[in-house]
Amino acid sequence: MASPAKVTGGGKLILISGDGERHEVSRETAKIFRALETMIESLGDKEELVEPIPLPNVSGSVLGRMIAWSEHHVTTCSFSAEAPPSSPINSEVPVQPVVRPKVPKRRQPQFPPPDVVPTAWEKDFLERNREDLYDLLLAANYLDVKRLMDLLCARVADLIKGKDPAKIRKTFHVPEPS
Amino acid sequence: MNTVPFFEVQLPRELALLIFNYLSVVDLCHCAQVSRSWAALAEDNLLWIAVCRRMGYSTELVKDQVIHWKTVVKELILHRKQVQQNWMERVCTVTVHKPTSSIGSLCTATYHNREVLACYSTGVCHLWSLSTKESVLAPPTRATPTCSALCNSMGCHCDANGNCTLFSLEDSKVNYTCKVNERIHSLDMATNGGHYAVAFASGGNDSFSSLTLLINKDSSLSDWYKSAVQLPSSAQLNNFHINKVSLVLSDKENSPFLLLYSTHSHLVLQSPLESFITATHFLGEDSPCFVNCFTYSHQSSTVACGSIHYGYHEVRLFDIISGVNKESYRGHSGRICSLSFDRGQNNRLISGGEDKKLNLYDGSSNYPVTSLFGMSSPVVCLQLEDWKVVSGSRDGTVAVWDLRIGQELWRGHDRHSVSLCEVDNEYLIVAHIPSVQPLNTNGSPQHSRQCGAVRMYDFSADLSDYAKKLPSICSSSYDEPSASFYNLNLLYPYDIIQ
Repeated sequence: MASPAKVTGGGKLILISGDGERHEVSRETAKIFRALETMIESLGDKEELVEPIPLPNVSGSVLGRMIAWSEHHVTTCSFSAEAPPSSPINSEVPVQPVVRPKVPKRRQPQFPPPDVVPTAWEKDFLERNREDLYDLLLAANYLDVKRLMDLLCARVADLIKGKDPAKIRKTFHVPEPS
Repeated sequence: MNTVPFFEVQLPRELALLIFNYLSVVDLCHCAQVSRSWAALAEDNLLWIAVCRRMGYSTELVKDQVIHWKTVVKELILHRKQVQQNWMERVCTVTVHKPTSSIGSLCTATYHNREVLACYSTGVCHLWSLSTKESVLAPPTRATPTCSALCNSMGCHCDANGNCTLFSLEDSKVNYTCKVNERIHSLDMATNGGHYAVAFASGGNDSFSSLTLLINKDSSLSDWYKSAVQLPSSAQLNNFHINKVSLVLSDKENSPFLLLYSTHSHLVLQSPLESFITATHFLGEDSPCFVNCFTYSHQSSTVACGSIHYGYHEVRLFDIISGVNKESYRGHSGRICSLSFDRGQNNRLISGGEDKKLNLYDGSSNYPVTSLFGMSSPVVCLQLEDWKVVSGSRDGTVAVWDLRIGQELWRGHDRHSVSLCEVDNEYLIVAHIPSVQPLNTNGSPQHSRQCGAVRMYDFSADLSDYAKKLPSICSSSYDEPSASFYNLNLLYPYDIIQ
């Protein structure tokens, strides 16, 4: 592990997962995580974030996959956040960055459910991570990645669809009611 | 494949709700049977209020009260089934509004959004509300009424002397009147983003028509701009008699309405701000043809028109924006008299004609997917809603058809031609208007049966136990002995008849 004071080049950020793994990501990639977006924007253009960002609720392996997701979506750019160009006027010294990501606000079922047609890459992504959909779902909720949330929810709902209660119990390992 | 024992232990409740939001009603009910914690999730009010909205019901009205939305959904589904059953078995309450000879015969009737407006030859106008089942008097016409229109909170009727009266439906007060010199024979009314517009065509039979447009001045309903629409000179289009005029909603800021009208040989879309030169002709430019009827669907911005094109009877579909002829449907051997789009699925269209045939088109081919036979005279009125079709013919027959089995369910009859048949979920409104006004020497019709009628069928009522309720005279108080064979239901039990 490198020293925490290492200054990363090219607008890089360091994320630290709950079990202490370090991940280096570019700013654009990290902006896919809406929870970090405002914080990154408040940094301005030139400032480098020296301090790593701890993400205590996300494990290392899940964070790796989340970064893979966001890196893909940065390059394809189809579902990335609007990504407004950070204003060059904002040159004064930024406030001390808040290192804790904000807590996502309570979500409510919306009407109608968002349209979820996964692209080929996304389908493959979900298929590769079918073992821990729930960890990803929690992480996506924590980091506020809307598109991934919608896809994962639809995916879990697909597991329930068209099954009778006994089959659902089997799929989700719910004990038989006594 | 996963080791999560419970949703609730591992996932926060909000996330579980997001997942459940993707489920259908049946799946939600299955989930509720899985375990106690799942049931608590699957019966969450937030989920069911979303289900309720997805089923197309407004949840605004009852915002202040605490409601168990699952029961609401259950009641809605049961009600829907009941209505469907009632439609198929013709279980309904019928309200007939027949004019008495003192108010004359029925001249025009309109339906919009659970309100019915009927105008009679003496000038009396009645307004019925289907939701409250009450009728009020609308402002009378000055001469014999010719046409009427309703739109949200406004009503309008026109008469043979060229008077046009606009009134409010809430208090039946006249908001505006205007007069043209000739008989008004076609009228339409529409609203778009706070603006109301009324368009009417006036002129004698087979003579040159004129077209007038009224638009209200900024959100006031008593101040209206009246303007005569510039029409082509007789050199451009011969025999320029407007048969029907209709208002088309547009999303342009400066002109929220467009005029769509048909003459014998043309179908024209025109912006009221521009002269006729820039109008779009749909028919008549390229080929000799005759326009019999047209209908317009706002959702798909398509106008369908029944025409004779190179000798073929065709339904031609045009795109409102580009004016392109999208489709031409064939399959009729007589003039096409009526057309109706399905309100839900806009690619479905039904047509009826003088060949006494109904043809259903779904856009997949130029020939009908279903043809319905059995009407006894030309089909002049049609309405398509979901699986059911209601058709009215010139001899006064109204038939209800089931498209899923392709057969007629039941029919009703009156002596006069059907001029209005409207289906609105559980309601069916039919108006029979006499084609000639039979008058006595003193000006009043001879008999009330020659005056036409408006019938309102309400299929929402649950009448299943109504049939079981026999009059008390038909039930016996006599206790039969145990060895009796005679378990007959006598119409007049002997123990009651003394």
